[in-house]
Amino acid sequence: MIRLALAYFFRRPVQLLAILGVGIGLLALLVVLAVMNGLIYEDRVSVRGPLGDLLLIPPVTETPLSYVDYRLALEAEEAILATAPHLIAYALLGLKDGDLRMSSTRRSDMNGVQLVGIDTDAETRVTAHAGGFADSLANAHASPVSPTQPFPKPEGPFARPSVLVSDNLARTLPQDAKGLKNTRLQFAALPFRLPPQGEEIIPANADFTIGGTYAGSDYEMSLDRIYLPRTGRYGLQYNLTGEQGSDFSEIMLKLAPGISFADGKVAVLHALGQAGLPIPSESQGGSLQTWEERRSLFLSAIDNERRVVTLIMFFIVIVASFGLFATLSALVREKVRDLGVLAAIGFSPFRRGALLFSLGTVASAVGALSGWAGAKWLVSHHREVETFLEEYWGIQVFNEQLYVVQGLPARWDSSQAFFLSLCAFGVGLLFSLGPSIRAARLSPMEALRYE
Amino acid sequence: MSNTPILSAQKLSKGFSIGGETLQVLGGASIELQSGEAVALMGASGTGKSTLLHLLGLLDKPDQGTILLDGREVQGLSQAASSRVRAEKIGFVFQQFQLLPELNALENVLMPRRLVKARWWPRRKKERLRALTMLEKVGLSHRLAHKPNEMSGGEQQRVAIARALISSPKLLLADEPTGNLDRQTGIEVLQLLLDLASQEKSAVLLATHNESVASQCSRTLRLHGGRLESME
Repeated sequence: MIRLALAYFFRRPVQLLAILGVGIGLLALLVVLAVMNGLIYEDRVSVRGPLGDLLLIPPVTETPLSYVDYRLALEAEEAILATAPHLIAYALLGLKDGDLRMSSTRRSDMNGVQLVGIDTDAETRVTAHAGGFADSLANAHASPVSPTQPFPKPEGPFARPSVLVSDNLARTLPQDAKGLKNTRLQFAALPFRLPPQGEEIIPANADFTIGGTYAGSDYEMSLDRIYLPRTGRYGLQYNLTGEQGSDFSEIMLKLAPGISFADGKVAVLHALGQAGLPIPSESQGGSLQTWEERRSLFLSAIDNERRVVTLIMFFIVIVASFGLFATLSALVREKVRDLGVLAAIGFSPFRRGALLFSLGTVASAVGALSGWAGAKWLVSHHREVETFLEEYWGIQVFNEQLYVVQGLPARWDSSQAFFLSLCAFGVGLLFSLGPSIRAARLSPMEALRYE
Repeated sequence: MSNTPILSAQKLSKGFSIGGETLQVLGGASIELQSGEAVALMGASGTGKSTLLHLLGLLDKPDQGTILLDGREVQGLSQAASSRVRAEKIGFVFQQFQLLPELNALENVLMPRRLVKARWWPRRKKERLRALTMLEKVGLSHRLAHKPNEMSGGEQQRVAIARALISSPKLLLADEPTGNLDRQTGIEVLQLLLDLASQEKSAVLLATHNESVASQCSRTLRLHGGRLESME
């Protein structure tokens, strides 16, 4: 029977075209998904940016909190590898004695900035992943700084402490003859606690100079982020926010290898409880989030996008499988007499159906397998294909200027590819059922009369 | 020859509904065949010869009447059970040869054996030997790998005979087996069919218009008015 099915299989080229249709449909689906996987992976790196594994924002308390208490409590836990404090202040940005455009508070494109005071070594240690703090320094292009000493000691008696601005912000700042470095910036920050209603708000003003830039990749920040030391003579606390209030706003944590986010959270809460430090809660305020929870909106959006694309692209496979249905139906019509003969020599309806179904099975398997193999090859050679298309046909497949990633990314997910190939095979089988049932139900007597 | 008929069909009736009216083709036809016996079935076109062969071959069901094949009542069997009976006990030879064009002579002859026996290798080898023997008996051992379109009409019918007899059926139904052959080839093919059927002890029911073909059989039945009449 298999011999006969194979003979039918190779009988007409149109049958091979139907199989090719399934293969190409699946190939398109898998290649597009591999590119989406690549983009999502690259996006995840960008989306995470300078976030640690966990982010702890303590509840607001009457008494100021000290980072040292937290560090000692948290780093005593084996599950927590390192901590890094952030002291955050929001400020308006102006250019010292300079540009009216940047100094006018009535402008609609006035720059509000987030000043983030950091401990450089701790920040580097906690964000030692792709896209972390060290990476953002290494990838800076406007005015790179030393990754080990991004805030050099100011030179001269009147020199002001240096800050790091993002490459993007640097582009909008007016450049003077001295260049970007050492450009004076003036910040007007709100006090650490707002005065009672009716009393005057007195902002804290301070001057800084630009020490260099970093490659920014903050997705959910509508403000520009500016880094500077947290404490010390040249730090945010000393120069702008003052010594009142807590010496940190949030703490980023790096978990030990093999520790899950859930276990990490438990360890943090345990450490805080043991040390008698305030625990974030709905009633007390504050929060303890993973970086994925922090960026959940964006991550779920791109995941949703992938689902939609999978669904749309799978329709191509379904449409291609219609070709299989059509050719098998045509085969049943063409082979009515043969089916009658098979019935006469003892083929039961089930076997006659099985003959057609085995044909559909072989066709679906070949289609799914060829689509899978073609997609795998294309994904692993996509750079060569890209180069070929650009060099010989002048087709630019991926415009790097438009995206934040370099080159067309593609990541092959074996389980995803296997599952979708299996689905394509299943759809092929489903479309083979109709013609198979028709072959099984054919009246042998009428089939034998068919000439 | 045993007295118990290998085939006993009693009072078979069959009608077809055409354009809202029922056309009664068979009305109480009865027939008995002994093992190894060859019987010719004659009748004008449209009298129901093919319909009777289809009923006896379990390709269709009678409206009324009974069919006993090898002592078993078979007219009410399901399609699957009928197929099993056909594979084991009934052989068909058609006027148009009805070989499968994609398969060669050997594969065509082997086709019925793919259904009824276990597929393990020694059995397959035995069946292949049986097919080779059958093809040798019909004089086509040199045409094993030839496909139907590479053979003459006579050769194709010989392959069809080998295919029909490979399972040593109890009953061989032949519908105008020489109708598409020239006179000389027809005589040779008919003789071959009857000889081999006799060797296999198969009862033969052979539908024909040709008196000389019918004369080769041990007796002749004529289908007239939906009933069978003996022509002795």
